[in-house]
Amino acid sequence: MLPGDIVRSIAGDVPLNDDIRESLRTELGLNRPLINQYMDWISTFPEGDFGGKSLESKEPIKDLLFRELPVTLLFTSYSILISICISVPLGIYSAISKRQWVINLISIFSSAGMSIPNLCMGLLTLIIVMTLFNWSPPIIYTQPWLDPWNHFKMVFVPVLLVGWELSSPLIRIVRYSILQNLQTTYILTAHAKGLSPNSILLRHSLPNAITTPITMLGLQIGLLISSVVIMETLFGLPGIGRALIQACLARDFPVIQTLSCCLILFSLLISLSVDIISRLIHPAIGSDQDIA
Amino acid sequence: MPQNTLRQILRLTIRDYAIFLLISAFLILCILSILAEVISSHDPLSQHLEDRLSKPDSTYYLGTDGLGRDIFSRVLHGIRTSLVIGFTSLAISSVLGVTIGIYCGMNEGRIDLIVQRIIDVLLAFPFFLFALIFVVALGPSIISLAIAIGLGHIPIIARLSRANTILIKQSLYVEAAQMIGAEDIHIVRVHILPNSFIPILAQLPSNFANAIGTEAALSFFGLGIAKPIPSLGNMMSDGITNFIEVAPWITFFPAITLIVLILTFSAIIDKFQQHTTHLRR
Repeated sequence: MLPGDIVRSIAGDVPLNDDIRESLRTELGLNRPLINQYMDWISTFPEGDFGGKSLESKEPIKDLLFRELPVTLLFTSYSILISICISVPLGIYSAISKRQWVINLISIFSSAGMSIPNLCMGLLTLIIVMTLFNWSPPIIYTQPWLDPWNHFKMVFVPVLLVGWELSSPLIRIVRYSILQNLQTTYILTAHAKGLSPNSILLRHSLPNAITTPITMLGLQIGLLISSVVIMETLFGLPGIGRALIQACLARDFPVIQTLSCCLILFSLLISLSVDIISRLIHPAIGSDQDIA
Repeated sequence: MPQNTLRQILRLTIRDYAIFLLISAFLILCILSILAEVISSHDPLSQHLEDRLSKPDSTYYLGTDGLGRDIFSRVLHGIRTSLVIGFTSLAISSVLGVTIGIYCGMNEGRIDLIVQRIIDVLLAFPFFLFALIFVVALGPSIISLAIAIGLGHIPIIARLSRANTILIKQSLYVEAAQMIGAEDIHIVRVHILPNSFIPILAQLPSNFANAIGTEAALSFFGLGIAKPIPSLGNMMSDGITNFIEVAPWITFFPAITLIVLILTFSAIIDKFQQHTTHLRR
């Protein structure tokens, strides 16, 4: 479906005459109608082939996928975890804090995370880290069970950055949610009963206030996947994002198709799980008794 | 009276000093980018190899890069590219998005349902992937970037615009107009269209930031503006691969410029929104 003659990109600089070009087109199946090509590609999925072979390296795409999917999965899960760990405490603290400078600081942190683009965040961090601390991230990736320290060193900078970016809108939503919640009548009752402020916060208002942030997290999955692709390429993590960018540069269309499809399915899966989790936490969502 | 309100807005804006600084910074950047050819000290494409990798000094205001090109001139031209792509994509997404939203809002029938589901699907898409695939398909150039990013922002604007249309359609004065015999197109032209742009104002800085960030990221990876033509992403890519320890200014200045562009534009829209909130409908 993508224009930009594939045959010309495969051939590169070698001058082609018409015969060779025609035979290449027949071999790749580009002569056939569009719907046939699409059905061919889709039918490789159930067979476990996942799109056939990469045009550039002749490697079966299945191997590429299985090698790189765990990296991306790990990276994404770390980022979501870190963003929740950053946003919930900071959001709660900025809701209940009496000190204005703390609230201002957290608000600046959150605005900065939302306005600075992923790329600039990554590049400025790399500059600061390399020039001031003379440290550079490791180049070779190792699985966490093989060499945890190397894995950690490679992963912690991009994870913190993506976590910061994700947590920025979440901090505001958590703060707003908690503030809304603290003004309800049942919290007033809890105070009147004599419960300590901590226990009110943790056991009563937090579980009720957490539903909106979780929904917001579900809406941010697009941002998450975009950030993951950019940060993986920037920091050299061998994941699906980086493979996608390299395939785009090489105009390697089967790989582009399969990997984008994979990323989109991934994002839909995360959205679905966030929906399921929010319904588990607060069973009233979606029914008539929705409190939030 | 439109003239009075504009004057009011300007007066209120100027009184708020911090935001006034940010707004002026943005306008200065815009003017600099328009006059880029006149103001730049050197030609952005010309290489001065004897001065390569020199620190910022009086001849080369922001230093030179690996091929001896002046970074100050390149940054000015890069700002121009970013602003062109940002504003063009904003224009494309606003016009098309508002049109689709108004159409769906006015005829709430089968087409509306289909379009809504399509928008739901598109909203779940990661935006960067969308722009990436488009740019790979259309080839790297300013036009294809602007179109790709503009089309990518249509779903959000369409959804906001449709909600706004339905809201206005249900108000009393539209009902009165319909009773007198106003046609749909008249209602759209007179009542809905003038009120459509303020509700999407909150979304614009976020879209602009996203547009500029995506353009920089795509150029950084080599999929956007091609190499010799300066773009903020290109320059960062040059700086980070080879010269990060020797000459950090090659990457630093484009990055800072990008951030300043986004922050100042958001400040302008925020201020505008604050002062027009009481002017809605």
